[in-house]
Amino acid sequence: MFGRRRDRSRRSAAQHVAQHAAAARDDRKVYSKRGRRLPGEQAVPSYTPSIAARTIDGHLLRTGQEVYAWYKLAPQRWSFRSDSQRQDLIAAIAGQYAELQGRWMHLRVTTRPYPIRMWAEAHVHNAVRRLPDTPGTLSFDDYMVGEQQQLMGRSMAEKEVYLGVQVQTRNMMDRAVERAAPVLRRVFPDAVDAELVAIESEVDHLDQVIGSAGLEGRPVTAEEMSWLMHRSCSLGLPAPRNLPAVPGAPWEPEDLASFTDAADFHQEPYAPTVTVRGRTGSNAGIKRHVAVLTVGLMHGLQIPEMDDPWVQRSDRLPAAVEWSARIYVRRPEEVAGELQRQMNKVRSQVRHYTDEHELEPPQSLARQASRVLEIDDEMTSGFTALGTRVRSWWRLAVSGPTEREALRLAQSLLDLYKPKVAIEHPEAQYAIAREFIPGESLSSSAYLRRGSVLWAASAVPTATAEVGDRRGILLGETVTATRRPVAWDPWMAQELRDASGLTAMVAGLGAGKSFLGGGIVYKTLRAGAHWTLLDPSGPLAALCELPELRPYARPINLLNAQPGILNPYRVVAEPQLDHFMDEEDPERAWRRERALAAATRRRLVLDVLSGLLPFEVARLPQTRIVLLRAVRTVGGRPDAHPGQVFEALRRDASEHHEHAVVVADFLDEMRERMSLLIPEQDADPYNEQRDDRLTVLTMAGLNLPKDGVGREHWTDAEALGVEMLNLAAWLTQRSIYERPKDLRKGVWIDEAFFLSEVPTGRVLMNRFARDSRKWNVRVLLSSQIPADFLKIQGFVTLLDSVFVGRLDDDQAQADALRLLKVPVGAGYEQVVASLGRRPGGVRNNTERDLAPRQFIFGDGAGGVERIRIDFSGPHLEHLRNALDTTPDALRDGPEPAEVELSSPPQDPFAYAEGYADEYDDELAADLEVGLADELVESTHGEGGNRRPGREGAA
Amino acid sequence: MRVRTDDEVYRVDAVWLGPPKATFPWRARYVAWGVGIVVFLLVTALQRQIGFGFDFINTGWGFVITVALTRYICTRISHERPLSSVMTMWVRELNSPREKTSGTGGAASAARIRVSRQRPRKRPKGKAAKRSARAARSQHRRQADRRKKEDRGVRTPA
Repeated sequence: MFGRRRDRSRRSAAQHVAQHAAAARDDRKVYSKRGRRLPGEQAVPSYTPSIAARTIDGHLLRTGQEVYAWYKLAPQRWSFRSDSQRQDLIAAIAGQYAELQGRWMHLRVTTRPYPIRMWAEAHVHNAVRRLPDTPGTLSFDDYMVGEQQQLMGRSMAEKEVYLGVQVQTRNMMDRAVERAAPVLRRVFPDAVDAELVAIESEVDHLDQVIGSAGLEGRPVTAEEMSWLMHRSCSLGLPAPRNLPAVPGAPWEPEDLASFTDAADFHQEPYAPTVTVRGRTGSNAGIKRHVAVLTVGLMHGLQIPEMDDPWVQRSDRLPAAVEWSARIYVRRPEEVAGELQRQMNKVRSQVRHYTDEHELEPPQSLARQASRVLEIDDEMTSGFTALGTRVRSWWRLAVSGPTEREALRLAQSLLDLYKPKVAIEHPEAQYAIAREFIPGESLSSSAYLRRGSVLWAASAVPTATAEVGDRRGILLGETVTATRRPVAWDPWMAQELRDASGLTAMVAGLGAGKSFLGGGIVYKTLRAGAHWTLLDPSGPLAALCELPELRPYARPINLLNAQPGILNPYRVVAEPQLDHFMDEEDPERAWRRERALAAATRRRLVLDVLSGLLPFEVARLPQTRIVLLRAVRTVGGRPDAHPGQVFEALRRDASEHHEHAVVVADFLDEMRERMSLLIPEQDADPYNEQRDDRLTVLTMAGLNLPKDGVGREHWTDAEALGVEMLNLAAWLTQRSIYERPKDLRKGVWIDEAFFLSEVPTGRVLMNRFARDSRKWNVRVLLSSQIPADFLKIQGFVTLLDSVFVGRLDDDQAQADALRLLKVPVGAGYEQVVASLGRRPGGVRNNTERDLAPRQFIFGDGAGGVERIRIDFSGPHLEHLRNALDTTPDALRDGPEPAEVELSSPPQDPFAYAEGYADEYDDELAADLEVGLADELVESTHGEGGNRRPGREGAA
Repeated sequence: MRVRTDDEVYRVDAVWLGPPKATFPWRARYVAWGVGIVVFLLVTALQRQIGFGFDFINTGWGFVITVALTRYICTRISHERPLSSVMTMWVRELNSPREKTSGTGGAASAARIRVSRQRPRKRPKGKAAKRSARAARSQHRRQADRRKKEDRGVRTPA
């Protein structure tokens, strides 16, 4: 394949011709020297690989002259880290380089296609108890096919970074022993392995240096080495679909043929590209033109602050870029001598100009002199070795099916690095392309880059965008420097990491909150999860109308539901003894839990009732005293109801009797409007058990306070609205306990701002955080204002994952970063403001911005990335239509969400409708007396998550 | 953190302006002087080889050619691409493998292989043996003839 050793290959070709007749005479002579062989064996010609590599033992690669140890470097997070963290990373890598003084390194960056098949396999395997297919609708298999096709269309590849470190050079003895190995192995087997045994301690030392924080490299496995060899020997060709089997034993020279035979390179003299032609496997007959470039002169870069790491920058190119860097870490004494020479050169030039010719010396000489002094100072000052110098050659390769395409990519790479880094296109393309193969020597010394280890480390080739996992639902792709698909399994944190299942979703109006949440709910439902949604405004009920979900989904408008459905005593679930069987003392644990549930009920009733009282009355100390006493009298039984508290208030015999009666009167006054809290007869509204996969609780028509309005200014209707929302949230929480513990469950509470407004919000949060792990629940909380969550003490520590969409307010942006645990004030606020915004302000555009919405996603496992939500596959069109909450007067027919809002549910299981009428009458009466003035605005007119008054802040 | 390479230090433009106090009107790097001397020697040698005599005119022309060639070579080299690596890359260009347009091998042919139906056997001794041998030989000849006839008109690959 590689024709540099053409004489040798010609000889082997001649052998081929002659081998049927008889082995060439000279060959026979060679073989006769090598000792005994089986009869007929001498007819096999010897094979010498056309590359420099000779054997591969474990992670050690031996060429004729050197031994290299190869490592695979761990990907490093780069985006959304503070500058100091990034600087630490660079310094750590530089420290590792500095320890490798006197050695050559070979850095290789290659790509591996995103394992779509593996993802699909893992996802299907993970989708336990999935939704049965409904005939005539999108089946699970079709859905999976659609997802994979969508992924495949993106041609995304994962970056892999390998580092080869020279262990030692080989002497003549080593080479002689290797040549004689077949004989020696029989006579004196220890001698064959002696070379590798002798360098064992050195290899261990290197393993340790490369493995520490910074590079975090680990010795390559046979499979990885095989991949790297393959990608290098077939540079620029598409990734092979079927890799040759990896031998378990060391690779002998003959085994290397599987790499070198896979492709051959050729080029015309001074051609701008080298042609690589695949010969075997899936690449047979495929031709690619590879343009090999090299890094030229470089300006000073402000690496963590302003510029990307300069190798990572190439990830922005929409095609895979291969890197090969040869780095030699120099010994200080070597550099000192060289610097001295350079200094002398400068001085003599200055003298030549001024003394001998009486001319002004060029400014550059003075600059060079000062730079020499600077470098000398760097090298001698400080106790760290960060001033260590390197000589390096950095090559890049891009490939295309035609020469024009390859050159176009090369040009866009040049443009990408402009103006700070010059990328050169050298001649001798073939020779430079060979440098990419592990073990090959440097082809020419042109484009040598000298610098400190700090400079070399600031390339950070391992910087990547890693977020999410490899088995969950597909959310979209990352949109920072590196593009990778993002998959997220909402139950992985609870099942594998023992983390909580709390997720905050914060985004302004129209930033795609409902779209993202709806997508997550839809996709996880398909994968077998059970969801309960609390959506006060109601558009998410459209999910229940999707044909494949309709048989398993139920929308419930809580305001039209049976009286007592929000009974504070009932919304807290009664613990079941059989849920505690895995405890040490089930009986005791169950009792404790029951006591806790009773206390929670009392607390909830107390909060709800005092929340309903006029603010002036509620804040009086005696109000709290009498309410507390009454609630205590009633106790914490699940069959109690607030009506009993009113009676207890009237029966109050203490010194505050009169006040108690006043409070009871106030509450009785509101009793009419509290029908959802007080059951009419002593019936259990939850006695009917249904196994719905998706329950959407809506509260269309609820009157909620405007943002920023203090508690003291709330109207009665608003106070009631908040309390009902709180109780509805508790109701969703109750749904968790009705299902088996291990089952994957999800709860999504939209407009979760109220959690910070009511005292029991924190109790609910604690319960969610505690039980989400035990009960395998993912809790999505969405709000337009991050401060709503931050107000809840300790919320950030309970959080697992976070989605942040576009926010315009400065304070909101900073708060969102706090939720993400990303440094505030480091310039990331701008990122939050620009999420999903079309570049260039098209203010008066009459067309809708249909660009995919972007979020910053913190996955709770350390990954934070900017992602683009992508549910664009044709198989998800009906989902997109259902989740489109943007009003459009021109749309054909009524908007599905609005239909849901305005019409009572047609579900045969819905609660009696008579109550709805009664409630509507109640609303009408309220409207008449002006108690509920903003009622209509909040439900109609604007679909989706519009809540009046919050636009300004969002 | 500002990171930069040390390349500037190594880009000292070492020029020779001429002997002290006698500044040449041009500025040439030391490497250009070196290249110029070698090129001049080569050009002069070439002139001798072709048959130009050693006189003022020819040497003058040789000098002009040298300056032109040296200038050309010096535009090709820089600190980034020193002379040595340009030469190496030139050699690499010459050595790189070319696309093979003509294939080697081709269809395999067994035409040259002699085929006989029977293997030679040990000859029995005596009169009867001689007779039978003669009969066998004649039969063999006839068979061979027939085969030739059959093969006629059928093209066999070379």
